[in-house]
Amino acid sequence: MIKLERVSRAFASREGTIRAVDEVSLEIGQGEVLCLVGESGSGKTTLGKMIAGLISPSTGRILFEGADIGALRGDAWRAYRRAVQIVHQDPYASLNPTKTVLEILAAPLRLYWRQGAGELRVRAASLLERVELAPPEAFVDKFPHQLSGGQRQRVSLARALSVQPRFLVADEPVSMIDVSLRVSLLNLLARLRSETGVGCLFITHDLAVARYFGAAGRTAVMYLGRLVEVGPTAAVVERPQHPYTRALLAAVPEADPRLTRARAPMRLRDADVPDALGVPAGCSFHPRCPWCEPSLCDMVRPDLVPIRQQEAACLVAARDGGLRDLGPDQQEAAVGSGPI
Amino acid sequence: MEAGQILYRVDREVSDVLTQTPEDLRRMRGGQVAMVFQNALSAMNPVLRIWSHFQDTGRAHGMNDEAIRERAADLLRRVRLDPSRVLRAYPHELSGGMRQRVVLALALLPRPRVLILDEPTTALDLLTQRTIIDLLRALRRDLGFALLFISHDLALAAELADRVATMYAGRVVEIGNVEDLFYRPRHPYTAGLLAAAPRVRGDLAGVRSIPGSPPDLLRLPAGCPFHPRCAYMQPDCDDAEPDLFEAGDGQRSACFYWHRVRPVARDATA
Repeated sequence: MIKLERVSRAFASREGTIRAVDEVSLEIGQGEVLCLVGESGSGKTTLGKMIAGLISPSTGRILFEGADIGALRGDAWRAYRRAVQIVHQDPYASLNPTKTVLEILAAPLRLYWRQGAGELRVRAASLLERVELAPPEAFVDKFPHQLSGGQRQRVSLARALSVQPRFLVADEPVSMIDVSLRVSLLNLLARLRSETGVGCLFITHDLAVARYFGAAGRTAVMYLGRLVEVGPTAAVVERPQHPYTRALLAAVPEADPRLTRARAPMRLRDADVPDALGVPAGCSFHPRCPWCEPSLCDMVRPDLVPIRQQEAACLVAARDGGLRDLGPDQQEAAVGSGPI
Repeated sequence: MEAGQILYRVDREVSDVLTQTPEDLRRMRGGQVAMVFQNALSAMNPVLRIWSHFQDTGRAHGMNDEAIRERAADLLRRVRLDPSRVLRAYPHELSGGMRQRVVLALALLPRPRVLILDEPTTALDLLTQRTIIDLLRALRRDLGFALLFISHDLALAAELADRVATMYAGRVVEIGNVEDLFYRPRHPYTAGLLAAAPRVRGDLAGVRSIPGSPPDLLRLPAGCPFHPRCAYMQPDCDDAEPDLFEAGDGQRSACFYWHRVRPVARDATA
């Protein structure tokens, strides 16, 4: 349904060019869920915005049902923008504070359905019911500041679904929501997705959220603008084949004191993410990677290759047919050997 | 402050923070009790080098430049930073994780006995957060200060805490030893929070949100402020606000029905 062919996006800054997304190739099938995991600055939001048509790639192509979206004009472009909707991370910033919920939901309806005022109110009410804001009369005339974060994100979701999109980009939709409410929003999104069959790119920095939401789908991991691992969610989250994914998994604190304190630590060779202006040569993770092999990982840029059940961009794992566990001696050697 | 006391004991002398003279308070801040905030960048002066920050803090607590330089270098090495490079740098030249480690070292310069950390890793990436957690554990072991760690993330409490207090609507609703609180929560809000976060290991069944919305502090419900969201709610829960009751060995809960609260079953501990 959506196909990315060596998509890159560079941003010019005063100090040089930042390659936010660097030659990403990816396919997302009809109705599929793909979780995109990465830390801030990894390029995951830029990738999501390119798919939603909000920014264009510097190089490479994005195909939607076979058509290059960069070549769409006029009605075809409008149809694409309708078919692919986005839910942003911050429901405090993505809803206009001077508009009521009705006005927020009416704008896309008016644009795409040309409906009259009476119909708009009825449709807005049914949208609110679908996102479990009930009774709708209690919400439809409210302003965003009168709603909680979770309720606002539901309005944002209702707005995205109002035009019956075929694909949804959800950019960290729960990360700004109170912890006690996140799962109910994820469950709502999962239910609406299965009801409508809408495909979904679900962007998150949280492996646990990816595991929960994307259990039946695939997960892709980004680091410094590149995809480093892609595969079925269970395989990627539970048996990662790329050192970066494995480092993320080892770093996640768990809400279970005995479990989380008993885990073997993984010490990276360098605690800090490289500057986006000076992405390392070869594998961009090599200066931090405990598996790094000199004159291999710092020279050759790895591509995604099939390893076990997934694909990973690691030269060492590819050569060994899978990423081995770090022995105690290797963990020891890695301790404190980083520059700072 | 409307009422109450905050008692602070140095050796055998007990003082009330709220009635101290400005001069005593000035000495206590930083020297006895230091605080690190969420955003390290706004905690530093953007036009001063890191060395000047250490110098100002040290001098304010009666250290000479030589002692400051020596202790700053030691602390920076402990937080895995290179003193010769970092002390010359301006705040904007460091990454977010490096800045947070600088602020941590800076807070420890006057040898405080209590360190208050307010969401110190919330703005940081996962791998950087892991570095800070591991460093905090080592620093506390080596330097022996007490830590008040403020967080919305239960997992960080599970990593670091000896004891945990849960707050809701401005009140402590449960306090206890870390294992008691995580494996035998005695307040429905704590039990609900524990069930609300998906995990990367173990079973995904049993994960569920707490119903309702976070409390509106201008319109708090009568009685127990958590009762409209509570799975254990009884008809009399809106009558009176519960005290913090004894609910086991050193564990206290602000719930009339604390003995009924059960942890939500998950096999993550298996």
